[in-house]
Amino acid sequence: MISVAVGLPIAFAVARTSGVMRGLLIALILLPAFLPVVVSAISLRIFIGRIGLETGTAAIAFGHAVGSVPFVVIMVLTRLNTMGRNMADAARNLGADDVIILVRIVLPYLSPALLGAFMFCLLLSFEDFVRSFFLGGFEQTFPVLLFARLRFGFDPGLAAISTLVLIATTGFGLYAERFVRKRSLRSETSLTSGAKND
Amino acid sequence: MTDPVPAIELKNICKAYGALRVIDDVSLTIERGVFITLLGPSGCGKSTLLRSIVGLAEPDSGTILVDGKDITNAAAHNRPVKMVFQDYALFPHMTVAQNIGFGCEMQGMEKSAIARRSTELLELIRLPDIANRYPDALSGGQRQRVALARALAPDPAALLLDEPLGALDLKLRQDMQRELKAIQRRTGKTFVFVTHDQQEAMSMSDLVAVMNKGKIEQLDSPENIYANPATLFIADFVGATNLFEATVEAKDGDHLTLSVGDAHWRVPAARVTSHRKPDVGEAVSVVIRPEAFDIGASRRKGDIQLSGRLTDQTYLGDRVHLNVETADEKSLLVDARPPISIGEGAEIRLHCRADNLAIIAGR
Repeated sequence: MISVAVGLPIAFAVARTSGVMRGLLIALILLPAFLPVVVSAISLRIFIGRIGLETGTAAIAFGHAVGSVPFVVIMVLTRLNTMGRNMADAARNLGADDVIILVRIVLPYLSPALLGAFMFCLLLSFEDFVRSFFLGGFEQTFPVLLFARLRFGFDPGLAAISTLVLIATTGFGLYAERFVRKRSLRSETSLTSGAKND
Repeated sequence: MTDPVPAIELKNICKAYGALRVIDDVSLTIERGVFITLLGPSGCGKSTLLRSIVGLAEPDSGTILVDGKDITNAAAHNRPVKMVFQDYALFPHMTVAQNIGFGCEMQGMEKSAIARRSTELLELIRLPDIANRYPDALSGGQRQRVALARALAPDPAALLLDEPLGALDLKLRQDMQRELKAIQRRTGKTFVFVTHDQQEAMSMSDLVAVMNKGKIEQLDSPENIYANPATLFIADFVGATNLFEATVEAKDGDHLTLSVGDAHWRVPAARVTSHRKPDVGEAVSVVIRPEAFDIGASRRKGDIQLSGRLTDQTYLGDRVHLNVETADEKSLLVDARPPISIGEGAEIRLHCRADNLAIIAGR
């Protein structure tokens, strides 16, 4: 959620730049995605220590948001690039001001990408072990909990849970993928003429 | 047909990108109910001029009046002129009816009134059954008409169309030209159409403004633009043209004597179509349209006679395009009526009435 909220304006900002500036910006934004997770987790730990944030839920949320922003930016940017420049101009010409253009035209147009980004980030942070481990303190996320249990010996229940989680996340991912594709299909090609608007 | 208050009035509009003057001191008055076309090559400033009127581009100086009101500094979303975009720019997440109703909705119209207006416009564009479809389920021509309906829905003071037929294939384009013209007649709206296609401009417009390098070079009826081009650029850009370089030898009464190569042509001074009238000794260009030529020698006094060798002919059914090379290696385009009984490579004689040409000062 946080990363979607942060990533969206960043994507808007990037969409307005061009040339070398744009390349640099994109590289800078993507950097966290390519950094080894351990490195970013440790630096995040140091960072939250500096700004006086306690380890725990807030820290985990913060850390995960930082890790997800690049994915949001990329997904939104891709969709934004397919949107003709004239569409906003057309809305303005028909009497829509900036706020109406954003709410009625741009956000609905981006909605498949936003939804996709949101689901993707959800999966990403659910699975993430390293960041949660470093930032969690006494607050344990699911993978951290599993890891802790694992240290006290082998437990058949553990294997069962892991398998279930594997299936559930895969299923969720596949479903999200399908859902998003269907939505963008509807607004891009000519297959579903009679589909109800949401 | 005309009204004392013009639909659109542009006064001394200027716009520059750096050193490049995209619009160079353009003034233009467009009466109500007129179909006017801004014609020019790409980059001549016609689209920028259009975007200035709707407020999507900001002129550096000048005044824009719509229905007599100064809207030069009005926000783009408060202007009473609507625009049809080249790529239609329909909203893909809204149905056709929602698209058409968007402008009315922004004006705060009631829902039932919007629905009535949408239906009305779908009737006008003769697509009453597509209200609940999404734009992506429409063909190019249908999208084009929906875009038109969407711009007409809020009852604009004038409709501006930015090369709206550019993306359609030839057959569809010709159908849409007729359709556009018919809709313009039926609604009585002022249409300002922008195109680089001279045939499109000719076939639809009441008035054509030919633009070049940010200036309007001539504002006239399509017939006059073609027959009486004011500049060399227009003669060349509008229709096919044979250009002859000539010099004014003498002026007597209402006739000019021109020397063209070795020949001397006596032509009516009234056929000088440029704004500036040439003096004796000045260089001029003579414009002769391909269809002005007749084949064979002429016995009529005063006709211009030419001869050359037929190098190529293209048969088009109702017409034949001929390429004729003259003795001084000038290639002429001739538009003749079949049948032509002259073989390629043979000598051919041509003539043209002395008043069936245009003379433009300068070269």
